Amino acid sequence: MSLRHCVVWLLVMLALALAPRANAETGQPKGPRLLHAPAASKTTEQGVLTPVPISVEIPDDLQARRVLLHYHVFGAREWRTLELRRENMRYVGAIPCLEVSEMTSEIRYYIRVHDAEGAVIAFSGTRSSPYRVAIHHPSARPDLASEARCPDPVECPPGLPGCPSEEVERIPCVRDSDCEGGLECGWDGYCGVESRRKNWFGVELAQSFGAMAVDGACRVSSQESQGYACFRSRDGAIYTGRPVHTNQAPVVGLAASRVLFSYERVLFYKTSLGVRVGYAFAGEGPTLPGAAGFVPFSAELVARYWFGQDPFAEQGLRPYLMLGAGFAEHDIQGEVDVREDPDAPYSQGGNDLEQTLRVSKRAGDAFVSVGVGAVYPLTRGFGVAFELSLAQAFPYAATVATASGGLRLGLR
Amino acid sequence: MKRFFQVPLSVALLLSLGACSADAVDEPEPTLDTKGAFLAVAADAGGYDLIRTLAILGSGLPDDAFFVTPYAVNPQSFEEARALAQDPALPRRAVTFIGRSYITSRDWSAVWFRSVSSAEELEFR
Repeated sequence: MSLRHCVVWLLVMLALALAPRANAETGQPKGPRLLHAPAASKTTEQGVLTPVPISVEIPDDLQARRVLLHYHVFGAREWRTLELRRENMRYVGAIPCLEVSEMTSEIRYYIRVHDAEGAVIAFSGTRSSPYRVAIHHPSARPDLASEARCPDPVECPPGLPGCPSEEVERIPCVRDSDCEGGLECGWDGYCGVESRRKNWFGVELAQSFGAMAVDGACRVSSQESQGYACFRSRDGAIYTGRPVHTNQAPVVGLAASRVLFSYERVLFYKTSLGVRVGYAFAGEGPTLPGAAGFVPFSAELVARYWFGQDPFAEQGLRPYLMLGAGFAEHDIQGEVDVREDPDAPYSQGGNDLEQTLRVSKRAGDAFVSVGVGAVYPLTRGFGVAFELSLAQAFPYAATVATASGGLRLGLR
Repeated sequence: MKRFFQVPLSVALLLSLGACSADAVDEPEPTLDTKGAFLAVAADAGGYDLIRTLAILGSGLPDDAFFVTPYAVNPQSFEEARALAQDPALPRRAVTFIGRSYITSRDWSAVWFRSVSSAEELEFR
C-alpha cells in the first residue's frame, strides 16, 4: 500500500479495554487514552526522498492542546519530535522529506496528545510498539517511485503550511510518565535529563547551648512546675531554701549533644522539606525525685530556602535559611547565685545568706527554630553541611542555640 | 564558644520574656532576732566574738535567752567576721546561751546568715 496516496488516518476512538476509566468526579481520564488505529496502518511503505504525511483526528471531548509526532530514522541515535498543526478537526504534519533518505530503511513513529498543562492525555503507538514505514528504493519497488523531490528548506521552512513540520526541542510534561527515553519531567514543565539530586540523607553532630531565665528559678515552686532543678554546690543537696527575688540575668549554659539523622526532599528549585530525628548522647541534666525522666529522642520538621539560581543543579556552596518545629528536650545547665531570705520561715538548714547553686532546666518539649546553614558539595551527590540555629522551646521556655555539622548524601 | 552565644541569646531571651530588670529588689539582712544569724559581738579581750544564734527564748525583752554556737576565732572587724562566717568548717565551741542585754550592751552586728538545720537544733535541746 502506497503511503503517499494513503494518508495515515489514525481514526480516533476511545480505548476500550486498555484505556483507564474516567474519574467519576471530574469526568477526566485518570491516564492517557489509547487512540485506536486500524491494524493495517501500523505498517506502511513508501519510496525514498518523499515526506511521510501524518494526519490525526482527535475526539472533541479530548482537551488537546498539542499533538506531537515522535519519529526515529534508521541509524539515528535519538528520537526526534515534531508538532502537528491543527487543521479543523485534524492535526496534520509530515516527517520531513530530507529525513527520508535515499537509503532503504525504516522509519518508526508514534503520536502523543498533550493537554494545556503538558500532560499526555492520549497516544497512538508507543516507543516500543510504533508505527513503521518501510522505505524502498525505486530500483526495488518501482511502484513507489515518485518524481517529487524534497523541497528546498529555504523556500519551504519548517512550520509553514505545506512544508515540513517544525521540530519540537522540548517536550511538555506534567509528570515523569509523560516523558520517555529516560527523561524526567522537570520543574519547568518539560522533559529533560534531571541532574538534580532530590533526596538527601544526612548525619550530623549537634551541640546546643541554652539561655534560661533564672530569676526565682530555685524556688521550690519553680522546681516543682517549671522544669528547674537546683543543687547546692557545697554538698550536692537539692536546694529547698527561701531565695530572694533578685532580678538575675539569664544564664547561658551547655545543653545536649546530639547525633541527628535527616531526610530531605527537594520540592522545587529553591525549597526543600525534611525531617530530622536525633538522639542526645550527652548533656542530660539531673532529674528531681518523682519528676519525669529526660527523653533523649528528638524529631523535627525542617523547611529550607536555598539561595542561588538553581542550587541543586549547580556546583558550589549552597547556603540556606531554615525554619523548623518539633519535639526535643533540652537540659540547660549552669550556675546561679541565690540570696537567702533570713526572715522567711525555712525547713532546710545549711543555706548561707548567699551561695552559688548548680541549676538545670529541662526546657521543651516543643520548639520552633530558625537558622542558617550551608552545604558544600564535594561531589554532585555528597557534601558537608554546617548549620547554626536558634530555637525557642515551650511550654517550658528557654532559648537554645545549636551548632551542627555533618555529611549529606544526595540521591535521585 | 560559650561567650560567643551569650550576648545574642541573652538579648533574645530578655526580649521574649519582656522582663523589667529595673524592678527594685528587696534584699533583707539578718537581724539580732534572726535564727541562724552570725553575730559579731565586741569581746572583752579586744576584737570580736563570732557567735551564731540557734534559738531565742523570749519575746524581745532584755532578758531573752539566746542559744548560740560560739566559734573559736577572734576577728578584728565586722568585715573579717563576715568573711570567717562563710566558712562552713569554722571551728566551733560548745553550744551555750547568753542574754539579749549582753549583746545589745556591746558593739555588735549581724554579719552573716546560715539556716539552722534540724541536727543543729538538736544540739541545744
